[in-house]
Amino acid sequence: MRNENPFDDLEIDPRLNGRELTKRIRKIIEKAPVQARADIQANWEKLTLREDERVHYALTAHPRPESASASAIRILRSNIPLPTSRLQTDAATLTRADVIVWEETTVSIQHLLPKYDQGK
Amino acid sequence: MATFKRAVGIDLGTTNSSIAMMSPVGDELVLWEDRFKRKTFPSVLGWDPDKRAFVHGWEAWNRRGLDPQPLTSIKRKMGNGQTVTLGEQDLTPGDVSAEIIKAITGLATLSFANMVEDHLTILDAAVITVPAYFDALQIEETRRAGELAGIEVLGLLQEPTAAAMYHAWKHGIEDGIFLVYDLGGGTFDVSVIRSIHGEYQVLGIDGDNFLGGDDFDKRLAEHFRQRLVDQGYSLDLDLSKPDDATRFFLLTKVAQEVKESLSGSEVQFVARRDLFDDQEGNPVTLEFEYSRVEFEELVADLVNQSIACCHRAIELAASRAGVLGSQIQHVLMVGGSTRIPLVRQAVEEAFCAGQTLATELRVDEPDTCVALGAALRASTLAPLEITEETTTVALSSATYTHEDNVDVSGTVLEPLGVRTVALINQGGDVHALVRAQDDGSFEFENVRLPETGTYRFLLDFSDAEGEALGSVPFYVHRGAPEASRPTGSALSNPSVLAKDIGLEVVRESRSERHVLLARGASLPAQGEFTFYTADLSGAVILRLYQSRFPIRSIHLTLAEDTPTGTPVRLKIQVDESMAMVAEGEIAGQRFWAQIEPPPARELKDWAQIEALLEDCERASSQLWGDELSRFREATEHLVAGIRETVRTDPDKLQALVVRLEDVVSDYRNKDTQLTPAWHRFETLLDAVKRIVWRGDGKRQLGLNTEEWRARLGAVEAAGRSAYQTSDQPAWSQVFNQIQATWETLKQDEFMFAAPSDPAAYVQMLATSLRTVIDNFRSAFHAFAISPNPETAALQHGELHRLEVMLKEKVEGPLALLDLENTPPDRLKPELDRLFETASHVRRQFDRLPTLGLVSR
Repeated sequence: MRNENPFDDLEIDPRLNGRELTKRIRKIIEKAPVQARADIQANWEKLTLREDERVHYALTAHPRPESASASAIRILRSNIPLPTSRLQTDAATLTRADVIVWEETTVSIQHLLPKYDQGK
Repeated sequence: MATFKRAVGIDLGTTNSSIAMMSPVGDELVLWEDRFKRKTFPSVLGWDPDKRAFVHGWEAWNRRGLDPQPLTSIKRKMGNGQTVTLGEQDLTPGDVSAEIIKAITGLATLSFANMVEDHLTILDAAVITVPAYFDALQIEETRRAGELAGIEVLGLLQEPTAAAMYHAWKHGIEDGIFLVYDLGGGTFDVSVIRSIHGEYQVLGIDGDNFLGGDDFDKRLAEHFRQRLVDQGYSLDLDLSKPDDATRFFLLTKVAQEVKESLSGSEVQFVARRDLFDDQEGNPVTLEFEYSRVEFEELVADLVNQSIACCHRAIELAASRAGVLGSQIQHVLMVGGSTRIPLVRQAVEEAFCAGQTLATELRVDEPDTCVALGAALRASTLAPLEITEETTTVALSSATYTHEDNVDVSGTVLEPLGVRTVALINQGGDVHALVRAQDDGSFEFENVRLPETGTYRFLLDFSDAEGEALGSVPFYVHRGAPEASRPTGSALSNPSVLAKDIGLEVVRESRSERHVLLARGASLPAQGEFTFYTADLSGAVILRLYQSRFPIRSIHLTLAEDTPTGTPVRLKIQVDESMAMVAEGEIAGQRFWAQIEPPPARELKDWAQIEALLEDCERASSQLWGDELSRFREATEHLVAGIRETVRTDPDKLQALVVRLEDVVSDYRNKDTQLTPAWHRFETLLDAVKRIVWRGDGKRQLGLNTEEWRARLGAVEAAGRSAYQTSDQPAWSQVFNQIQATWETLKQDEFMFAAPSDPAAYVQMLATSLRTVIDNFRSAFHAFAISPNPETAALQHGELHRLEVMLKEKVEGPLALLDLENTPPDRLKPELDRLFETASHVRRQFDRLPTLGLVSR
């Protein structure tokens, strides 16, 4: 599942302005496989079409240390269950247990924490 | 000898076409030209009965007036589903365009062959340009024409974008906002385009596929015909008759020559002896003086229509990207028809006199910049393919830079099994060595280019054992540090959706169109939606529309017990060339449909057109106030155009009829025949709600929020009831109530509001007055001048007077007000006075259509 926030999806620094991020995303698209280009292009447009939206995305980008990959966020997101359809409203009584992801994942929240240099 | 394979850019124009290519070195764009140095090729196809073969370009052009008449302006017929006859052949417009493309690419292949010394350059793929306002059917036929001509169509690029790309490339503009005004031989396009670090976004488009140099010619030809009739010639022409069509064609030819001469001189003496015989067999002679002023008066409304399109494109850019007209930095003039002095003057006055940041028009290669921009795009879409003996490489990196280093990347297509790639410089030294990936791709980073100039490199390939497999040469050019050449990459979004894509849904037991992808969305575009079944019919019909025209119905049969409210998931994808795919799922059943371009609409005969005009009049008689003004603004120029083109241009007549049908259907519901349509009621109701429930504590029109809630609830219920029972008198009554409420509230907002901050209030008044002035300008430009020359002269004079009045008595004094430092109590009466003057101008403007009429 793709992230809704293009900064997370493209794994780029939310502090970049329109011009800087265009330069950065161009590098990404040049090296991307053809089938991935439409998504990258759509993300670039999301970030550059309206200045206010870029600022909004920058402010809501997932906080993470520079060393952590944004892919980890994507994997965590993929574990969120889909919303139930309108037809299934009777069965939509959720318990707290429903929001816990029980399956084992390759990434834990620990991966998102800053990596402190234990040696010092 | 190495062979360089490059994709080209083709501008398939209404009157002329051109073709260009990025040089294999990558430092210049090369335009095809013939041995007389002519850079354009007439988009004309003829038939030589002696050779029994097609003739193209100038050869076909020179057959004008001979039998069979060559085909001209075929672009205006693209996508209309009709065939044209040339000699013994029946051809589609796509077939004709294919012949033109085939001819011009054949010529360019010969001309470009020896572009680089000792190397052969060939072309087999192209980017073809299309007007930004072409719809899916027209785009599809253009693509098909390219394929029929035997070339791979890499993509279709919108003409204004191509022009902006070339301009930015040539002048090294990496960041900027462009207004591109493209008035060609048959079409008019305007786009607002932004470049960010050399990547392009189209923010707003508008245009008219039936507005161009041809229309100026036909207008002038019709004027000459009337003059001849006044002189006693028998020339009541019916263009469906071949003899009359030839007569009008010859008049159009003269008109075109006169028009072109008037771009350089003030007066022309028109003298043509025995041009043709009139309907009684008398030889017709044209002999009179004709001035530029007369010509400008004759075509002023056409120019004004184009300016109105520009305002709409700017509005779209503002709503889509928040980019205002005042932020536009460059105004580009594209297309041969921009040579007409009146056109330049009108654009300059509308957009270079303080309305934007541009202070002058930019004109650079107006006839060929579109082909040059397309060549630029082609060079970024398709890699440069280099072949030397049995080795072929696709070089995907740029071959031009203004920096001191460049990345070199590509893929070895042949032979297979390459493991090592060596980059050898012109001194014969190995510059770097890299390992090729399994798919043959390789990359060298930061290859140093110490000086400006052209560098020749060699790529040398070896297999896993180090055995040489072959090598290919290539060139890189380093320009001066300031000579940036932005080309745009795969990141750029150079095309946008020209018309809304919608779905017919049911609401309140009535059908309505729900927009899925809005006009102006960047291509490729996609959207995912969820709808719900609304009945137990056991079927779902997904009827898709392009603008207001149905393009495809998807019919799905469901199990009979499928409950109401079952989700219908729909995904729509539109690619760069407007090819559309719909897919989705309902109750576990998946569906997929390729959406073919919509079928051409049926041609209307005059009786049907008359009925439509009556319908339009009926709708108009049921409207008043702002609704009437809006309706008139949208329909008057169409009605005037229909009456004019009956005589001069059957293709344009049909296009105008379709547009008028669309506007009328907006105001007159097709299911119920109610006027106005439901969505106008909803729009007004929403506008009222936005004001009365704003929560600023004001008692609008003396009512509190609860009273408003009760009143609006009652109006809405009454409206729904009248609408559902198709009760026109009740519907009119309730619509009038809501319209009156809205117009009163709107006036109150500005005239009687008493905000707590007087300074903010006068600022609001000043902003609102500026909007009023802009709206006036737009209305002036959109006004449909009468086809009758005497009435037109009267209207021109009055329009000019009102424009001067607006400028001198409203706009000028407003600019002189010191809004920052003058106390609000002194500014307020001054602004009220200017508003009053503006209203006075508006009242006089509203009287323009009835100017000179008598009253009972």
